[in-house]
Amino acid sequence: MRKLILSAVCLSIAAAAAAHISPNVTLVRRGDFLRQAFPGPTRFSERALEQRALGAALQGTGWRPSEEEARLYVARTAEGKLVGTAVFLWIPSQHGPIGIAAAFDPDGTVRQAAVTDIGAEPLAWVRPLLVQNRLESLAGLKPNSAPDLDRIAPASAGAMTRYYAKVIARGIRRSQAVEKAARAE
Amino acid sequence: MRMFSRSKTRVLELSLLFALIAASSAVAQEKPVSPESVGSPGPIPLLEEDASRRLSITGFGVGSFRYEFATDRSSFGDSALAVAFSKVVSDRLSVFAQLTASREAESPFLGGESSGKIETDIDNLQVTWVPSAKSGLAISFGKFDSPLAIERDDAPLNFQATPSFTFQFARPVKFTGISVHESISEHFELWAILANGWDVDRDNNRGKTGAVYALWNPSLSSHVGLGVIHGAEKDDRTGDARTTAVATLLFQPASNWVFGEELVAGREPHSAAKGGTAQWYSDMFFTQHRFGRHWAVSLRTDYLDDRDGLRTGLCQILRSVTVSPQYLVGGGFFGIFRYLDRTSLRLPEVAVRLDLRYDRSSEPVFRSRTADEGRRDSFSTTLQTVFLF
Repeated sequence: MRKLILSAVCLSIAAAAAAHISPNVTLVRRGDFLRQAFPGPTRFSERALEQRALGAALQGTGWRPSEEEARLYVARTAEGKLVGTAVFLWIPSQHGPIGIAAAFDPDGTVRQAAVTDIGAEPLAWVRPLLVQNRLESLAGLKPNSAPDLDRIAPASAGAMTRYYAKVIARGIRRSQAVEKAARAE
Repeated sequence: MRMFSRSKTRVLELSLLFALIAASSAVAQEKPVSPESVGSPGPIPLLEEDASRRLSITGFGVGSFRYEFATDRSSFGDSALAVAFSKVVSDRLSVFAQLTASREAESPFLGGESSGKIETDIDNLQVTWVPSAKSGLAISFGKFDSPLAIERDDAPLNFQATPSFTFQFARPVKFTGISVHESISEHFELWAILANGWDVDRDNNRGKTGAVYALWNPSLSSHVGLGVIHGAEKDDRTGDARTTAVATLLFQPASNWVFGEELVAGREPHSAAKGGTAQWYSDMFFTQHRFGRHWAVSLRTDYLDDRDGLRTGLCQILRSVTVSPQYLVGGGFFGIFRYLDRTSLRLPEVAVRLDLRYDRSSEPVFRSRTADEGRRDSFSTTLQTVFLF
């Protein structure tokens, strides 16, 4: 009897130390995204998220990003003139978090958007959007406009691809809110 | 007139001063960076340049200290070191492998002396194929975690330092075989598994064990799962198939609060200690609340009714209550960024957990200060440090 208990416990404790943390796949390095979005001799600064301005911009969304979830970078010329801003954030999905990047003009118009990081499992569903450059359709999106889901993923796409298009769209909306809060400061 | 002119000049000077202060404070909010420093250290690039196809090497380590009040025994331990390799081979194919070296932990049970030796095991070895991006189908082959669970064998992915009796005795932790996973939509997922058996790397009989599991996700913060595992588990025998039903609940009502439950009912014919069909029932409930960036507390209650003695070797009811204050560091924007499975709770890069655990059994199965004399209860503390890399 004791032997049985012992073997069962030993088995489980040996297993208790094991793990499976699937790492995210990096699709675009954030530094590369900044260089692509703001080519030329640009200087970059990281800007702290001002919680009060963020609170106002995110009112009703139920989302309050910490600095672990969202980062804001400002691009300026050598003379200090604002060229634009870039927001990087993580957004949860049913199959792990995905990293979203969005670059903005000084007036808040989307300049460029990308998926920077994603888990290996959802990558198969997001890859068609990236291969077809569907995220290019987000360029030119005005500050108060929502991304058009059908332009990110066509209706003919699979259910999970459509779902991830929705997640990306939500990430862009959140990026817009962070950028808006930065402009309001 | 002169006075007015002088005061006007002063106002202008003051305005300029305030403007300069305001400008300098605005600039102070911005910290210059280079694009190179904005990227994460990320995966280790080997062999090729396509960022998504790079080999990624990650892992974790676990150190612990355990003290048993009933026996006055204590020990530090280098509990585990795991290294994982992950690679997306193509748009449809990915591989994941993990090697874990773990030290056998001290058992609280009477007669459960452990050698404390290190064991190294292939903990995960998965090849996953996605036939089409248009469907949500993924087929995995190899050794993988049972999806019919909330509590994991991954120390970083758990909410506490010590495992529950439900995890230890009531249901399987790993399968070696084939898993077919269909994400029908964001709200509904299905698994079908064909495997050697419960935590069996090399099949112990000619039969196979099958499992089906359905998970309903009404939202990102609610998950309800129900599944069944069925198959022969006895060595060299294909009869007396074991059947286990598992229900899982996981909810996140607020960004800093999670609670969940695992319910298990199992039966196996001709396996009871006194003959007949053995049955067992189990229920594990947990909740975790986070306070700010660094602090968290978990509470777990656990119940296992091994009424026929199949799972623990003795007809008994085991109960347990564990409170675990925790200090969490990192797991932030750069580097490893994961959530605890199906929650939005960030996975810390370093977690220090202190489990204060009270176990009770209907039989005297726990060690006491006197050799060969058991106790019905056991109070222990486990301090655990988990770090990711």
